[in-house]
Amino acid sequence: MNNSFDIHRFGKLVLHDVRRCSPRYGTVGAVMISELTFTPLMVLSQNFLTQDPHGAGYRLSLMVLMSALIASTIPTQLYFNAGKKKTGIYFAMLPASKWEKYLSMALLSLVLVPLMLMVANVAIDSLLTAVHAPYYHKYLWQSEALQWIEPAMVCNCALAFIGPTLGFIYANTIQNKTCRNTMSIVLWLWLMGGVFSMMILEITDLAGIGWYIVAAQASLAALMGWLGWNKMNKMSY
Amino acid sequence: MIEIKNLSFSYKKTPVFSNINLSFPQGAIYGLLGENGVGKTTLLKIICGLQRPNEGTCTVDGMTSHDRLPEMLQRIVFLPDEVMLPDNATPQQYVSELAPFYPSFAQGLFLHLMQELEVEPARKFKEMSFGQQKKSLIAASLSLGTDYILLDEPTNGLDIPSKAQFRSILSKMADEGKTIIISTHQVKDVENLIDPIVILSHNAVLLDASVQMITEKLFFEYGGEAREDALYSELLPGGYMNVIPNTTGEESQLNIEALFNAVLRNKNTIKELFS
Repeated sequence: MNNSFDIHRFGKLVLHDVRRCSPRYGTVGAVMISELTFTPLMVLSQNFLTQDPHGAGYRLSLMVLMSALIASTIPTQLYFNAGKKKTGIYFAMLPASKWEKYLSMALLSLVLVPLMLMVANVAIDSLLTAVHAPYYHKYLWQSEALQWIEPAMVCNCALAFIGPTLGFIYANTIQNKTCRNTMSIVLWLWLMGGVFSMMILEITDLAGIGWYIVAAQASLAALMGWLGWNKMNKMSY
Repeated sequence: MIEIKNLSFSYKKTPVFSNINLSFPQGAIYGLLGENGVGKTTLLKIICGLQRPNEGTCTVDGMTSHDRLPEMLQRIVFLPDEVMLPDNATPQQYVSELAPFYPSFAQGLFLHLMQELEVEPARKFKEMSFGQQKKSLIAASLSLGTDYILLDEPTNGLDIPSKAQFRSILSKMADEGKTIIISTHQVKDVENLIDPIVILSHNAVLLDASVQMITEKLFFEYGGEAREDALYSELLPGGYMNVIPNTTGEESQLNIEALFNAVLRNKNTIKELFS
């Protein structure tokens, strides 16, 4: 058996984590439902106020922003105990490698939960478009916005989510409450700034610097990933 | 086999162990005793890889414990004094989550132990008393089929019948070749169960000896007068109990509390006697 990574063991670990996190699903589910309700409500109220149906681009941006905000809180909610000295013993003693444990955390936080959230968002948006065409105008995939979305923008949006989420995994392991809270605030600012900056850059015609921001965000995301992994690797309980 | 070589450990600037050596061959129930704060729990945590020594090594079957390799973790289970349990889960769900990671997990043994300890496997943890939760965790830990079982204050919260059942269960486990290390203050609960006995002091191991060796070197005299040459004397109902060096080779009944006090008060004499 490979001590660093064994796909069979990793599969068992992911399933274990999904089951183990189930007591937190109530909170996670409530937050997700709020988001899934809030996004269409905001679209509908905006449309009602302006009497001008917003395009699918607006809905898509709102959806991405809200999903990123919500999904980035998942590591804190699901793995809060794993990074704590008193409560993390169970997690540390589970017969899987440290690398597998970190990877399973990242997979759940960065892929599975956000994917679930996006699918739910798109499904609700499509349903509303089908039943409420005047205000929802077009399906997302028919949107003209898809044409002006640039690769740098997609990369930046993804990194503005990946970086802070990896940061939240690291923040879970910080024992000092003040440091942990300060770091969480910085991560929130990064997340919001990262997503909003793309929209601002697009409007202000400064999109040319997009790839520089991608590089900066990628470096920060890598730093967050390394900090989290390093802490999980060396953590004592 | 668990081997600790030249191990030093400190919490920031507070030294806990300084260059200690210990080994725990398989198939025995080790009693880890010591005053508050000498590092009993820390030693258990070092053994299972939850703490990294500053110097020296701790290995489990040749694997460095702090690496926490999956192969090592499959062979060792640690039951801390306080455990954060998922409130809404049942003991059965708890072991079902762990079972896929332990190839030797025995569901039959788990149910048998739960029955012996009189706890319902389908009852939620939040509906249980502290003692019942503890019993559930003991049953879960012992049924995982690991070679090494590390228990920190396992009898805390257990009622009197459960303590007897616990002793009987552990005796059977040791007969099957398992290595059990118990750290406890409740020495009466594990008397006649632990052998060898390890007594820790600040920075050092004061005693690491089997019960046979202890009774060869020390004599426990019950019901007489207080003796001047005693390493430790205590007034009990019916007379004094004295712990004296065994010069005649006569056998006596070990009293762990008296041994513990004798060791703490005569560190150098004990060191010489057992060296």
